[in-house]
Amino acid sequence: MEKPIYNIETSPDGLYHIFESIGLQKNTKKMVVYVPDENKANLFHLIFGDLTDEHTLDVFAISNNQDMKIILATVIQTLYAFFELNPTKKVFFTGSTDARTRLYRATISNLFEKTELFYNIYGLLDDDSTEPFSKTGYYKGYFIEKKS
Amino acid sequence: MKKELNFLGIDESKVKINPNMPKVNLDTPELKKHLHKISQILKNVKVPFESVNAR
Repeated sequence: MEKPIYNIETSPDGLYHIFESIGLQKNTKKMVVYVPDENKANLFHLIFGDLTDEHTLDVFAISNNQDMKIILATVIQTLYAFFELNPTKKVFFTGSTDARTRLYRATISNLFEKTELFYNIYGLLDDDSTEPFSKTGYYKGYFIEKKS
Repeated sequence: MKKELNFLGIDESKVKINPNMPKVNLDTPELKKHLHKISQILKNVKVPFESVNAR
């Protein structure tokens, strides 16, 4: 059974992704951007938020469209597109707020669980150490790479 | 990717490459604050990938 996700428009370099969250009150354009880390080569940050009318990204926006699972599944889908076009790059992902990171954890855990055949995933622990991803782990961020 | 998406139960047709994606301004105080937060999180972290070396 397919997971419901929104249609995604992806830039040719795989760094920019746009989709539309469908709500009862309003639709909201969302954007996922992979931004290179300033200090670490080959590492990109997954940044996600609302695309504003001024063409900026609001990473703290709350749309309340009751579609969080679909949105997160769509965000995860952009990872596959990113790695398809950038197979040697690595990604770090965390929530824009601590509360949001906690909110994402369970859904992300479920979505990542089946990816172990294709990706190496590590969780970032509170003491700044990392460990291979575990569904029961308590992480403040995730490192992801495509298996070669 | 097709094999992966099929395994994961995801519809590949949902992704379209758009060569004319709108440009987005990432140089905003809010986004800089968020990226700075991430940099601080990663400041003392040994990234678990060999190819990610300090520049």
